[in-house]
Amino acid sequence: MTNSLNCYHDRVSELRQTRGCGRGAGAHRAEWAAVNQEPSPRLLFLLWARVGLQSFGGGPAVQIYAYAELVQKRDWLTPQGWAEVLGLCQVVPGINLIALAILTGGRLAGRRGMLVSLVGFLLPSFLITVAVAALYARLHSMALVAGAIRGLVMAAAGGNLIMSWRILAPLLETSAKEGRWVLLASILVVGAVALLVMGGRLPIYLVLVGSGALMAVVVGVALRGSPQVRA
Amino acid sequence: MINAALLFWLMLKASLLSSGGLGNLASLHQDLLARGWANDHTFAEALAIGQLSPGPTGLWVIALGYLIFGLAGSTLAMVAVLIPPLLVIPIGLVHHRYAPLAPVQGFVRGLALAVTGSVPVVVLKLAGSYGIDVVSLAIVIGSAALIATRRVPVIAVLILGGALGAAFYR
Repeated sequence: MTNSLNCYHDRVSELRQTRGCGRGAGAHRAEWAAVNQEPSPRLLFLLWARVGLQSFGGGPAVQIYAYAELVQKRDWLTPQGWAEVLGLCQVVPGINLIALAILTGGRLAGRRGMLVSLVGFLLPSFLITVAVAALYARLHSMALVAGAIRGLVMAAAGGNLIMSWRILAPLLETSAKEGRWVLLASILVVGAVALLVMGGRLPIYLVLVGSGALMAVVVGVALRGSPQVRA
Repeated sequence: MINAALLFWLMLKASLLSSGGLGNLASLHQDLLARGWANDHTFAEALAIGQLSPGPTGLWVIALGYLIFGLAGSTLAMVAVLIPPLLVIPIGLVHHRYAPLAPVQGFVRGLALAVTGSVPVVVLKLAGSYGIDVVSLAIVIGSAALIATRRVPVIAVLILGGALGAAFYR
């Protein structure tokens, strides 16, 4: 943790040294003002609350927004530091963005940074989600509300289909880079899981573990002896 | 009668073996329907409320928890989806700058691939549980097309869907 914090300070002093060369003074001053703000727990809380409250539809769009805030606008993390953090977040199960808030918060402001980023990211959204669910639970017998939720269900279904595709496409791209057998196995896993879920006989967790195990073997074999490949 | 400890365990199990915000959908759907604690409509509505509310997509389980077990259910759901990402703390300490081993990358990718195979199936089944008609098909296809263009905010598409539903399904 302290090591990463040092990296951050190195980055800032590097910027201080290169300050004032090349660009327009006004634009540079604005940029410098953003850089010069230390990543305090308060700022981290506000930043992650904003990321949370603006993330509708989820997934890649939110990651891009968080990247713009942390790397491009404020320079709190280097692009390499970001890639490293993101790589780790993709290894843990569940909601990647929660892991992202935890890791970036920790790197920028220690344990307190971790906690405030997490709470800032989740608490406002949690409260609003509960409030919307509670409101719906009270009003669901009204014909207008029942009609609206049914329309919303259909729209959300359409959105989720596109989101699934947006998650699938880069996975297949990565697999394709590792060879045609890896790509073939990946396509096979997607198709087989779809059929198994349609059938509904096997416990889903076994289907998931099986898919993971199969790809662990296939990717393990395909990448044998190529240690330079990164996540 | 819902058993809180078992509900929590099912939510945690589904989230531990998942990838991304909807990774726990297929597993929870299977487990909760088998116990009669929820039906297709509960899931469909929880997903819709989750999409409509801000925050990561994965917070849809908070709406699910609320619809089946009130405030206690939504709190259990929040804790259950919080635990798996916390694993990043110990992993981050070990893995400071090395890429994960190839089999680990493979396992994670396999999980993610399985999720993208299962989510569309479950999502379409949930939408179909309301009955298939012209309006529903039009909203599903239309909203997918609008979101695919990336030019219309997701929230605007959802609101449009809700408005069309309120107008046509009465």
